Amino acid sequence: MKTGKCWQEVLTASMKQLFLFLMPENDADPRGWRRAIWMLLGWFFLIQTLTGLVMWMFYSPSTHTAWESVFYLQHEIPMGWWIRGIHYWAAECMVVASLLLLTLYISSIGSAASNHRSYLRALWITGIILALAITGYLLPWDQHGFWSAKIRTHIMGLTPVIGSGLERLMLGGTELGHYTLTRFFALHAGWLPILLWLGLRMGRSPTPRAKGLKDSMETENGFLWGAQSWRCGVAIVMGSLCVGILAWQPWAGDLEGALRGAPLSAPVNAAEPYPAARPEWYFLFLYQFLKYFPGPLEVVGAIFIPNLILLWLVFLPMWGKSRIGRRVNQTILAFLCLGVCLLSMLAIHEDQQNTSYLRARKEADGEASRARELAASLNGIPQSGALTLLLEDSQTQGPKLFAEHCSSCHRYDRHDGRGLPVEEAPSASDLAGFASRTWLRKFLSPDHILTPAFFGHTSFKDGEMATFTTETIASFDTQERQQLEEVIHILSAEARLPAQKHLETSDAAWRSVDRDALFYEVGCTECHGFHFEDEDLDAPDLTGYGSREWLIEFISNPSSERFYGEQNDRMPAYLEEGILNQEQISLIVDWLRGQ
Amino acid sequence: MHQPLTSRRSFATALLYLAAPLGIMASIAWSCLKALLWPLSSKSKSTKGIFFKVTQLKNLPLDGLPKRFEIRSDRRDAWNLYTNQAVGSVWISRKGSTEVSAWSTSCPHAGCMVQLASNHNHFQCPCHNSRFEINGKRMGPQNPSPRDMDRLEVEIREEEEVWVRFERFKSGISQKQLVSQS
Repeated sequence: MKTGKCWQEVLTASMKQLFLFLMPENDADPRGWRRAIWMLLGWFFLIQTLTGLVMWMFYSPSTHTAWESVFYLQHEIPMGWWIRGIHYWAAECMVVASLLLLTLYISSIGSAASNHRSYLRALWITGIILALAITGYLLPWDQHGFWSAKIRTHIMGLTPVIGSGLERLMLGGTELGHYTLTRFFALHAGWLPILLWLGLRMGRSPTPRAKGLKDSMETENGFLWGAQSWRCGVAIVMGSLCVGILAWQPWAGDLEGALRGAPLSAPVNAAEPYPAARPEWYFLFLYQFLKYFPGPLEVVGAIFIPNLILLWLVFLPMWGKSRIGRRVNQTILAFLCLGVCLLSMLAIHEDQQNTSYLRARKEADGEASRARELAASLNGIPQSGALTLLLEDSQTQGPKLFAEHCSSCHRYDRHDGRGLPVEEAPSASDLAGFASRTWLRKFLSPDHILTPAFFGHTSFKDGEMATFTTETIASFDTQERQQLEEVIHILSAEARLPAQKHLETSDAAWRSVDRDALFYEVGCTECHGFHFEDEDLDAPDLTGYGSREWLIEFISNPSSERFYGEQNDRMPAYLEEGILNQEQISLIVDWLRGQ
Repeated sequence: MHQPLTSRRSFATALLYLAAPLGIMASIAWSCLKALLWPLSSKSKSTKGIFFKVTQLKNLPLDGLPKRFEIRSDRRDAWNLYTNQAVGSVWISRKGSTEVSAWSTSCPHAGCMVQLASNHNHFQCPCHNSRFEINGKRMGPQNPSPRDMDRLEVEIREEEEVWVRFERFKSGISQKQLVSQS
């Protein structure tokens, strides 16, 4: 029995110490939910300091180590994703809590329970918390953070007179780079937390008098049974629970596939557009608001009006004591809250309707998970950074290059390579599955060769290949059809497609066939070369047809003697004419071949 | 005799204990400010951009359809020098045989990258939906962009090489104001 009592006493005493530590005591409102939120903010500050200091031990702020070190923390360090997740979501919760606190204060200004000084402190810490969130978003140096920071510093630069100087100071130069990261990091992990701590502590008296606190917390039943203790406990438990659930993401499925904890988009690529750029949810209203200020008016929406609101926030207690003043403040507050909600909802609604944004979002998510997949597959990211992994990845770059350079004539599975439909009809063959058995079977069928997916809209539609298919192949008997099928197997094997490897090793029947005789009998070698050279033949050489080497050489110059020669339709010599370089062609080819 | 000495001493003591630390702190603070405000002092390097060879005339379609080309150059970021990097890109279109126009891909509104709309008949910015005609002119009255797309100087050299003077301009204002390269 004695130990039980002792336990209780220790628990009560330590809880009391914690509450006293978290609580700014000297303020006039010792009870109520505002007090509980203050305490919650103190609690979150403790959590952020702890997780932040731990993450600091893993983080390296430079443009080609930031994403990489965050990735390593997230994927390799035990519980790294969890620590990062807590830090990320506690930050979001701090934003919510501080905004809630501010609203509670404004709506009570002028009433007996109001306190001017602690309201100003709430305003102060709300500003610091937002600044912490903004600086924190850039630190992983991922696409999302980069483009948000870029737009924000741009908006800052719109400020009259001091704007461009301010922008330079924030960026540490004219563009986002190493110095932007080092600055943001120093602000995020050093200067701002100090300012926040001062904001949380400033109301405290040096000696813990806390009369009001004792009154509200200590009843005859003991410290933990007071109504205020209960409120504080509820706030802390609920807040922590929110953070825990959001970071754990029980709905995200297995840990391997999904990125739990906090999001991490693809490493920064400033040279390419990032149409998926959007601000965080609590700035969506501002983003939407700016849409209504076209052209040179932007500065009004981005600088003047927000600063006016800020001025109102700072000075509203001055007239808040009078009845009319209080009404005015409450009306403005109601309008602001309504406006913010409405604008945020509008922003979300408009994005949901915007198909090109939704697609960009999907593509950005795809690139993010591909970057993580590539980084995880290697035994270490190369020194040049994770971006080079993406830039040298055919699965990422192939579709983009195809869409930009090939899709005005060709299609890939009826789209432009990136999954977008193209309005105009194709004027060259569909290259999805090029040189595979299925593709060749269709190509060599009288029903398909003249469709737009093959020669339908090319100058070859009246050529010998088309005639051969629509007339000769159309009249094949069963045995000749069998031979054609063997030709398809042999020709397709030239491509050595990764997807067909299992087929080619399993059915080895065609290997024993005399392929020269077969190709002659079917009629291919009348026009095409196949493992022999003959200068009189003007159709493309079928030796190594569809292989990596064959395709690269073809794209480099389709008009060369080996391929179409003078019969080339409209396809440019991509390498010879300097449209693409060797690496870019290889990326397209590897992607087409599914490598 | 004692009195002045004491007061002189106490003056010296006061100097030592007050002025010296203040002076030291002030000089340190001055040095710190000097370092922190350094990005402001490197402002004077506002020069015109240089010409880059971007492509060849025959790679530009005759129907005026704009094509995007990357500008590759050495790029300095704080302590690092990156050689042959994509530092930006330009839209180039050709009308007739040699009439070539070039625009910066950076949106004059907020600096996002302007793209060609999927129907290929106008430019569009993905961030705030600025829209421009194919000749870079702003479309519609509710356009977020304060000015037309930034036209860049083009030179045709050796009868077929397309050279573009690559420059950046401050976004968000109606005048075309050069941003210095760092």
